[in-house]
Amino acid sequence: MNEFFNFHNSWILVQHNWIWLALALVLGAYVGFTTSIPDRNSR
Amino acid sequence: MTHYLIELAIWMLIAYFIGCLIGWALRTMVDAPAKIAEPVYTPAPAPKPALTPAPVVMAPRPTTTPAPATTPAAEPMVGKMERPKGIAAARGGKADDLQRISGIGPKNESILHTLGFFHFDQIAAWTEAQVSWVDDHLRFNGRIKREEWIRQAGLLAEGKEAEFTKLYGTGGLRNAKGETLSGTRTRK
Repeated sequence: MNEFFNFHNSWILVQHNWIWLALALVLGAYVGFTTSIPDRNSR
Repeated sequence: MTHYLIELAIWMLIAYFIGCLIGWALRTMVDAPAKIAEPVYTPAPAPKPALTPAPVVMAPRPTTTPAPATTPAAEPMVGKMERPKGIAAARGGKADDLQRISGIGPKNESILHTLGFFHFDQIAAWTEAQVSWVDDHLRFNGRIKREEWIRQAGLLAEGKEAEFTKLYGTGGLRNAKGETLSGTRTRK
């Protein structure tokens, strides 16, 4: 349990903080959507 | 507590990247039909007959502030687009080097070939409405006008090399060694 990256209780963590994860997901989707403009102007 | 926060941050980062992928996929899906869809074809309005001078009636000018004049740029572009007619293949099987036009690179040349344009005189013959269509179709945001493709194509089509070079540089010409001459794609 003393290992630095121990995902033993990950599921509990996700359950308790799902709102933040959902927010991060939505933010990522927004950023991904707005920044991935197809480049049709390259020569 | 620190471990807890770090783990939470990692999960949030993962969620963020997944979100980015979803956003990118959504954008691709949204843009895909737009690429296929052809712009609405609306025939250009027939040229107006020659104007005859109308009698000028001088009316007393109102003292109120004049209304702002409408500029042509404010007019909507809808209805002013017309797809120029291309040809199936280059005349005589040999296309002009469209890359000589400053602003056209290999990619744009390929797109123009796909649309049926292989020769300078074809581009030089585009009307305003046709330029608008090509500009809109390729999402150039006015590049064709800014870079004066029509004028460049006209000069090249008429063989006015000296004038073209003076205005637009050498247009990608190469010397005997295959080196690009100076002034390529640069306007003086």
